[in-house]
Amino acid sequence: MADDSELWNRICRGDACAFNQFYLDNAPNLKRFLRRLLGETQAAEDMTQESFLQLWRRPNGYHPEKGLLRTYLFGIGRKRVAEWWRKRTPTADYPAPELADRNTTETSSLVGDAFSRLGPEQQTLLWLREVEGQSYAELAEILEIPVGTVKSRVFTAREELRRIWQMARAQKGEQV
Amino acid sequence: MTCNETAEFVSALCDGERIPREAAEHIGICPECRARLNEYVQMGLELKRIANVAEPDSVPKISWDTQQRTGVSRFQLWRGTMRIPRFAFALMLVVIAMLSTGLVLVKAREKTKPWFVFQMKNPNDHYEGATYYDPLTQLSKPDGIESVQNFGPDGMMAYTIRVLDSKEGALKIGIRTQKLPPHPDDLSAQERTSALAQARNAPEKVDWYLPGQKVRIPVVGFESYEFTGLLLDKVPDIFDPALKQYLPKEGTLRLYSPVLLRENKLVGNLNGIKAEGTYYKDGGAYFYFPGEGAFLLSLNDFAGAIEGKRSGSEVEFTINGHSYLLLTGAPLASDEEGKIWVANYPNYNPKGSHGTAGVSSVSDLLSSLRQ
Repeated sequence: MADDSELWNRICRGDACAFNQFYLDNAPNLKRFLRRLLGETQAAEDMTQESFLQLWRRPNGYHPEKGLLRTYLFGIGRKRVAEWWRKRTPTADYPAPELADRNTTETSSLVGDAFSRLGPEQQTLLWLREVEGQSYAELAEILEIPVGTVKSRVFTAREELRRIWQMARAQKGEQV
Repeated sequence: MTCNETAEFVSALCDGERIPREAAEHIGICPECRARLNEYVQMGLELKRIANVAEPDSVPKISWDTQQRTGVSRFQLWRGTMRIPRFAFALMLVVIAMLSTGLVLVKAREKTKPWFVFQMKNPNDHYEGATYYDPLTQLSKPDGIESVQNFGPDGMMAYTIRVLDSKEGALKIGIRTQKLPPHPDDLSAQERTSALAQARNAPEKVDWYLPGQKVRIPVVGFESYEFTGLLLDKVPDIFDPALKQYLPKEGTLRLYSPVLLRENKLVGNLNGIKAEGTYYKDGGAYFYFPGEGAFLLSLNDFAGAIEGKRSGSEVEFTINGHSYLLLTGAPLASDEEGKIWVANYPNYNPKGSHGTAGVSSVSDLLSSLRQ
């Protein structure tokens, strides 16, 4: 936290070098996360840049005492995804799973397929927890919900993923 | 512990969280819970593998120097580099403000909203419950609040609570209680009326309640239970662990005394009705007013629902171009603010009902309310 506070101070003072290092360290992971949610590489790349630009142009939205700068960045990304889906499907926040075009090697597993069928909120939660290793406290900051709610939602998301995965395994004749 | 009770702890264990000893012991000996844990771990590993085999994520170079920025205030920069603990600094500001504006604070305090908490606790079977009332808008009516609480085989208790006087922040509250024999089902409207009539004739226990002071209430026939009243001088702060009971537990939906306004006009009032239930995945609360049909609320989207806003004890939503405001006697869910989904079933019309509310799974409620 102390390091982030120092980094943020440098960014606030317009230290482009410090911000560029932060960008290089975190942009690939943010892009990977966004691509997973959006299903489109170009959109993910655009949104990654927009998220960093937002942070660079208006760093005063971040409060070091609330959490890590990286956590705040993923929060920006998550909000942009929600906004993107709202614009594409004006009547619903949740895209139908089949709408998401995830034509990459990522989907070549039963768990990957099952994961793609989760709603964006559950995908966000599990991806940030399992792949990015965000703590419950960091997830609470990103999702703007209490830590207790994060715990129960992670559990609910895991159960849903497990249910879909088990169904897929049963259909393929594997032992569940 | 059962597998259902332990399931969420399996998830917490998977994340390296501390879990209760009973849960750990159960997981250690239960094949089903161990299988769940193994599958959680497998899923996590598979997601990591998927992320690693994805194509490398190169990112374009960006020249940050050329990007326009808005200024950052000196206060923010100074706050970011502040070396004294922020809490101490905040406290210092509060003390200065109190010394200089004491009168204003006293005035403001008088305007804070009191809440009366009626708690019930039975240490023998671990029953614990509480009802929350806003004395300004509910208890100060001539008849106050009246309700019936069912304690299963121990019997039922009908009670009335009313405000008799107020002085310098303290409230004089009268509580009447009446023990009634056990009743296997929900009370009919007639039985409820009769129970409440008996409570109104019971002797009244009167006490002055000071904010924060708990008062014990003896209830004849329920000596093993602990009944207490507690006056809070403001809407409880969710960040104060001592007051967390103000919010329902995780996964629980609660609907107390719903009042519905449409375009700021009263549509219905179910004062005294209380519904609460824990359905982690599929919870829904509904209420019914004659002539309006039923309204179903859930924290998750469901077929035919529209999105509304939830903040503490208030829910705002718009259906068919009409804006609705639902006010309840206590917050609906464990997180005080968030989204909520609502649907109206105008044709729902249970025979003989003058209005009701309940909490169940959304799937069950949908099949009932759509009929």
